Amino acid sequence: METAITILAIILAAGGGLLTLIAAVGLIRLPDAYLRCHAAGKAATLGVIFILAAAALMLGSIGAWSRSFLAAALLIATVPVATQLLARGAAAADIAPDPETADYTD
Amino acid sequence: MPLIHPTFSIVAVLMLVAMVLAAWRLVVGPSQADRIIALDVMAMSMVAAVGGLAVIEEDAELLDVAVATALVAFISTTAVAWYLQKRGA
Repeated sequence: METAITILAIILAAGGGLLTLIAAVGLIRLPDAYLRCHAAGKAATLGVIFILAAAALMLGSIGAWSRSFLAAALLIATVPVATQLLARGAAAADIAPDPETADYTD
Repeated sequence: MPLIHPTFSIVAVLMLVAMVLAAWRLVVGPSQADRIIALDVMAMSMVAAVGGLAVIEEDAELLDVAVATALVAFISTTAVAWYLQKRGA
């Protein structure tokens, strides 16, 4: 049981680290601000929640579980809102989308 | 058990790499929205790194730092996005 929990935690931590790294790579590789919001909002949320779940599994105490749950709930509630607001602000500020992705507007 | 610390140390190093990539986007821009989203990704990387550190140190109270960082990241991103919407790039 102990070993199974440890293995699950290691898998979750590795997956979470890779997902968060993918968000940062998307930040570098994608062509405009809107697509970068997309990469940061999706990959970072899931990756960080995986790592928090792994930490709660490894520590195992009620304090670790409650703190991880609080942080994960906050992330689920706030990160999509923040990236959506940021994309709205960018659109209001007339930041141009990449020409290849802007076809639907005209 | 001996696998634990290397795994979470590797996670911390990956978060460092993610922070460096986001910092490059923060410096290069080109628009203000790019810089804000880079700061947001840096904050998320810090939350993840603190999660790894809590396991390495075996200290659940370090996760309070993760909660506070997530809150501050949301409030700051929202505030700057509001200014972006109000005043333009």
